[in-house]
This record gives sequence, structure tokens and C-alpha cells, in this order.
Amino acid sequence: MHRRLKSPGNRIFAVVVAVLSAAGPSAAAPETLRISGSTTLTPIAAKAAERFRKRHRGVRVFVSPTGSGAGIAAMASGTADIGMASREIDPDERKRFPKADFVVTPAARDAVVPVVSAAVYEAGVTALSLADLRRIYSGEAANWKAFGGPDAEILVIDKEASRGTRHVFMGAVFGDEKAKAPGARLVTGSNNEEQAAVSQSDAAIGMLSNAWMNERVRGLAIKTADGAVAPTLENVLSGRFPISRNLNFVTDGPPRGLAKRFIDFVLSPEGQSIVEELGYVAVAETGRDQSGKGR
Amino acid sequence: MRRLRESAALAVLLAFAAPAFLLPPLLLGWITLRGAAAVDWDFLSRASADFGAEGGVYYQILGTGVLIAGAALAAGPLAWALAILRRVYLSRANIRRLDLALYVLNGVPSIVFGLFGYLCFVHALGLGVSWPTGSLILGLMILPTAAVAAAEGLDAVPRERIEAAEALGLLPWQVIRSVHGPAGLPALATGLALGLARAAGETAPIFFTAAVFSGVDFPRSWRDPVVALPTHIFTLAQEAADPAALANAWGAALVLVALIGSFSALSWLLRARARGAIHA
Amino acid sequence: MLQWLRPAEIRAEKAAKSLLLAAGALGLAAAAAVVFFIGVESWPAWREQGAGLILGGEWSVGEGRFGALPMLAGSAVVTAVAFAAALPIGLSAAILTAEFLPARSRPLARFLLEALAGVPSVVYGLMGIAVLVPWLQRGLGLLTGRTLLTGGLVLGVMILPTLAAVAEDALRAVAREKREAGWALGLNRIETLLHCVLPEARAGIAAAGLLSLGRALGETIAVMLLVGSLDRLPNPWYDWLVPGQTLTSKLGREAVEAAVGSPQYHALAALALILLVVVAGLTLLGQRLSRVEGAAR
Repeated sequence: MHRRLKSPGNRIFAVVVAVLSAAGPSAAAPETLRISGSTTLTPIAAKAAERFRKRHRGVRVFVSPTGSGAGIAAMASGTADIGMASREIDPDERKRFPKADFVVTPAARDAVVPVVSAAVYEAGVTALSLADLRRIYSGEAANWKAFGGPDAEILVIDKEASRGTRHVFMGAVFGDEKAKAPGARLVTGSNNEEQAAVSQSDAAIGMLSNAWMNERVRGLAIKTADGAVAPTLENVLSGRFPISRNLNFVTDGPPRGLAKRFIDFVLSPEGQSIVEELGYVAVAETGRDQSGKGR
Repeated sequence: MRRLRESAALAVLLAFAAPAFLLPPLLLGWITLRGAAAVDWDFLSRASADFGAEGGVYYQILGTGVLIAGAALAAGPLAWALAILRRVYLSRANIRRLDLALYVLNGVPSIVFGLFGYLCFVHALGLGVSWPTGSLILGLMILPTAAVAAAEGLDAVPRERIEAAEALGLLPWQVIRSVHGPAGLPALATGLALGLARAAGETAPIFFTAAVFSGVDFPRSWRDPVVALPTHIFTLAQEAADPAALANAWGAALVLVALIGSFSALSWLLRARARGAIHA
Repeated sequence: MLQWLRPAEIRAEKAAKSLLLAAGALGLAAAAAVVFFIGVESWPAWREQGAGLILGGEWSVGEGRFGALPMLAGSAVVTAVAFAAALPIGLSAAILTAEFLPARSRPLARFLLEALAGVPSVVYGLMGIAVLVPWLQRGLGLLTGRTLLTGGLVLGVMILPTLAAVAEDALRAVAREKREAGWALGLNRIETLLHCVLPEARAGIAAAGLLSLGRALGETIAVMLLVGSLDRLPNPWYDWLVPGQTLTSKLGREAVEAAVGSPQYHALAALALILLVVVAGLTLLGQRLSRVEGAAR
């Protein structure tokens, strides 16, 4: 028998089988939590998962940044335990997954900010009204000149239709989450992609969470009847900024077991400090469980 | 006059052909340059952190390893069996049918494999987003390559050996065990190495069926997903404006290309050895 | 002979044969399963929309309208650019290597030609987005460097190794006598090439082209990252310096989020079916043609 093992082919085979058995079932299967969805929530989930794992040895938390729509779908179809959604559940989604009991737990808040390339901001375009945004995304206005900016074509960057950020933005600008944007010139998916696309251009406008703004991707103030409201943390906290939203964890039925422990951790003072570290806004003390039930 | 035309034609050929010879060293050199800046022992041995902008790709390498090991186990025996079946038992008509099936499989785009795997393995068979799902999909992808290579290995067996075995009164399966089987194995190994080189770099079949972005170190159950090099690079590539993420993307890319290169080299080596062994 | 066969051996023979046949059935079933699953899942979309699926210009999940025309156009453009770029270069390289290079340098030449074949598409995507996109954007003064042309160019580099290698194999498979016939007639090397070698290698070169076309059409990740993902037909039809969408890029972006069983999911399966049929068809044809050449070796 061991003569057979001498041949290199058999040795490789033995190693492969040994490696794969290690990847197979083990006596004490560790607890695992699968989280997937919004790229806005992903940094929160990932960082919280890191800290959570240190507290609870043997627990694994898998995070997949697939987008709000995909996260909700994954959760409802059983592929994920928690779905991350940077928007509310769509009635269409309730229809598509009739058996899922969607329970939404806000974990943080943020604002969806119209962002522009640094060059545009520095050229003087620092605030736009919702009507302006409508004109840009519907294609009526195609040049920054119309808004006091440089004579340059606007690179209107849209997002994939199922993304939470898009739902919230379109809801605020067009009054319809599923509104089409005929003026769009480019479509991106994750927040990372959108951020990269805006910073790679000198004339871009896009939609992004306030936590993702940086020196190359500048957030515009929104002109309202009471003047221009800048996307600062205070304005988001106070609710003055017109486009703000809950960042939600979605579960099938009220959170149970490991999912509940994790969500509770994110809602705890330590979890909420992670939220703020990352640039988002902590949820209000009282508004924890949207279903109104106690903990 | 004809000589002038010949020289002119040659010059044109050279001009057009030049990119084909210059691009490879240029691009591979670029990958090496950008990647080497990020790769060091730390990079290879640490887990990734901070959304990939920091840390290394240790678990991504392991994850890719698990996926292709599984793919080899899934495709290898089946490819070998198919090759032997084709050589020993099948009629002409059935050989054509089998070949057709293999060619069709070979022509399926990788995203369609991913979609099929998602429908069939993740949902219909209930395997979930896990590394076995990924290995099954990748195994399916490389099955044609492995089977064709094994079949070629069998075709290369000199007729005398088979006739000698049959003259000794051996049954077909005994002939298989003593002649075809051993002859097919080196060729199978070559085909597998070639297929695994391709499978290691595939993103579309695994990015929503077997891989997640973070949280996995080493998979510890049949239902665990993995983190893998291609999906890691894919996610980081979307952060093209962040230099830290980009640097790590290049590093991971270099590691992946090196991995694929070594499998290709392995398959080339095995093929050379197999050719030598047949004539031994 | 029969007295040599013991029952145990007969049973073993039968078992081995059944096992192997089962393997064969599994192989056939796998191929059939892929086509079957995708076909079946796409049926509702065909039934609902029929030709509108292919001819419709708008893909709107919210309204339940799924028109694949922008994707089909995008795939066609990107593939055409890739092919137009790779064919002259690959064919010239193949001709140079097979006909003009000294035998000693051939291994090195082949090595160079095939070196990039192992680079995975995600790395091409990375190179495209980190280098080509900003470069094209700045160099051509484009609104964005993520365009159909960008995707096509990168695809061209990706299919170049296959095209060159298979074409070179086809050229080398042409028997020496054909060339000698040409030289005997006093033709120079270019004329021999044009009149004696190329016509013989037609099938193999066509195979190279078909296989590369199939590969270009089926490529997902690099295209997804570079093409702009905008579901819009190029307008005017020849302006390819704009973002667009391909079948593969659409699938890559939306496959994750469609709820299994929803209209969107069926429509995506329909896209996959179109892709499958065309790419598998091209690849099959290409493999058949190159087998014909290969058998001569």
C-alpha cells in the first residue's frame, strides 16, 4: 500500500483529498452568519464583523457587497441570513417573495448626496435644486454652463436600477424610485465604482452616500425654499438635508439567534461608534426596531 | 518589380505582426512592475483588511486553491472515464454524440456557467453559495479540456500493446486496467493542469455562486464559501481611484498570473514527459 | 476461451462497463442540463414578449419590459472591434512565424504569441480600467473612457493569442509539397504564400477566426468593467466612443439580483440562451473545422 504512495501522482492526490477533507464537515461546525447586499452598508458590516468575531470566538461572518436589490433577494431566497438594504423594501419585492416576512431594522442613517467632480465644484457649482437635478438626469440640461459651471458636457452617472442609493435618489428627485434617467451617460454599480467614475472625470455628477465623499468627489448642497442645505453631518442628523435614509438590516421574520446577536451588536454603543467612525449617522436611540415590537 | 513587392509585403507583415510579439512582454512586464510593488512575504501571508485596501491575499490564495482542487477531483475521474469509454466501448455514432456534448460544453460562456450553477447547484440542488458549488461549476468547465487531453493520450497508445493484451485473453476492462488506464493518466494530468490554469482565473462562474468578499479564512464545512483571487481583484478593480486598493489589486493580479503561469508550465512539462513515456 | 472466464471476472467486466457508461451518461447529461436549464427558464420570457425581447430597445425592470436590442448591438460592436483589431495582427504574426521565421526561432515566437493566453479576464479588466480608460479619456477628450471601443480593444488583445496560435497551426499543417510546387514554378515566398499556402489553410484559419469570435462574444468580466453598462444603442450607429452594454455585461450585473422565477429572471435567462446558442455554435463550428486540419497532422 505505501509503495503506491511513493508515486508523485498519488502523493498529490492524497494531499488534495486531505486539504479538501479539512474544508469539509468538522466535528464542531462553527456558527456562520451570511450577510449580503448594499455596498453602502458593507463597510459597517465588515468592520462590525471584525470586532464581533473578536468577541465571539468561532463565529464567522461572511460579507458580500452585491447591492441592495441582490441582498434582499439573497435573504428572501435563503442564500443569506441578513440582507443589507440602503432603502426600504419595494412593494414589487414583496410580490416577488410572498413567503418572506420582511423585517427591517435600521442600523444607521445617511444622506444620498448629489456629488460632482472636484473640478466642477471648484469652478463654482456648489449647490443645485431638486429641479436642477431633474433637468440633468432627464437629459434636458447637458452642459455645466446652465448651472454656472464651466463650458463642459455633463457626465451624468447613473446607478444600476436595483441599487438602494438610486431608489432613494430617484424617489427624491423624480418622485418615483424606478424613474428612468434618459440623460444618463454612464451606469455604475457599487458605491466604489461610482466614486471611482466621478473622480476619474472632470465633469461628472453622480449619487453617493455622504460617507463616500472625498477631495475628488464633492457633495453639492441642495437648494431648497429655505436656502442651500449642505450635506454636512449636522444637517443630516437634524433632518434638514432633504435626501436622507435609513440603512437597514433585513431579515426574514424578527432577527433570531446569531443574526440577532450581530444586529444587537451593531445597534449597541460600540457598534454605533463604528457607524460614526465610518462617516455615517447613528440611529436615534428610540427608533430601533421598525416593527414596533420590543426587544 | 516583383522583388520590390515581396519586400514591401514583408514589411507590411512585419508591421502588422509586431504588436503580437511586443504586447506580451509589455503587458506582462507592466503587471509585474505594478504588482511587485505590492507583493512581499507579508502580502502573501496575511489576511486582507479594510476592504482589501490593506493586508494581503493569504486566504484568497487558499480559497482559489480549494476551488481548483475540488474542480480537479470533480473533473478528473469523469474525464478519464469518458476518455476510456470513448476508446474502448463506444460505437462511431456514440463517439460523435459524446464529442458533440463535450464541444458544446466547451463553448459555453463562463457567465452562463455561473448562471447555470446558480440555478442548478445553489438553488435546485440546495448546495447554497459554497465552495463545492464553485468546484462543481469549474469542474464542468474544464471537463472537455481534460477529457480531450486524456482521449489523445489513449489514441497515442501503440496498437501493439493493446493487441498484445487482447492476445493474452484479457477482458476489455482488464485491458483498460493494464494498458489504457495507465496510458491515459499522464495525458489526463496534462489536460487537468491546462484546465486548472484557466479555472484559477475565472471570475464569472464563482462570483455569485461560491465566493464572498470577506469573512472567510479557510472553509470549514461543505456549505462555506471562500474568498478567491479573481473575485478579490474584481472588487478592488472597481475602486480604481483609490491608490491603496489599486496597488493591492495589482499585487493580487501578479499572484494570480504567477499561479496560472505555473499551472501552464506544469501542463507543458507533463506533456513533454508523457510524450517521452509513450515511446519508452 | 470460455473456460478462462470466471464468474467473478465477468461480473467485474460488467461492473466496469456499467460504471464507464454511467460516466458517459453523466457527461452527456451535464451538457444537456446546461442547455436545458437555461432554455426552460427563458421560455416564459419568449412566450411573453416573443420578438420584442430581441427587437425591443428598452430594458426596464420596473415596467416589465425587457428589450435586448442595446445589448445585442453592444455585443456585436465590441466583438467586431476586437476581431477587426486582432485578425490582421494575429494572421500576420501567424504567417510570419509559420513561413518566414527560421525553425530555430519558432519555439520562442510561439511562446511569445501564446504568453498572454493565460492572463485571466479580470486582470485585463484591471489593466483596462487603470490604464486604458484614463488614457483614452484624456487622449481623445472623451466624456468618459468607458466605451464600447475600449471594451473592444481590450477584447482584441484577449483573443489575439488564440487567433495567432490556431492560425499558425493551420499554416504549418499545409504539406510541404504545396510550397515546393510554388517554388518550383518560380514564385517568391509571398506569392507562394498567397497562391499555394493560404488557400490550403483556409479551413484552419476560418476555425481560428470562429473560435476567437466565440471567445470575444462570451467574455464577461473585462467587458463588464470597461464598457460603461449603459443600456443604450449607439447613436449614430457608428459612434462607438460611447458607453454601451453587452449581453455578457448585462448578465454579469443583473444575474445576482433577479429573484428566481420573476420576469426579470426569465428575461436574463433568455439573454443567456442567445449567448449560449451563438457562442456554442461558433465554437462548435470552429472546432469542427480545426479538427479537419488537425487530422492531417
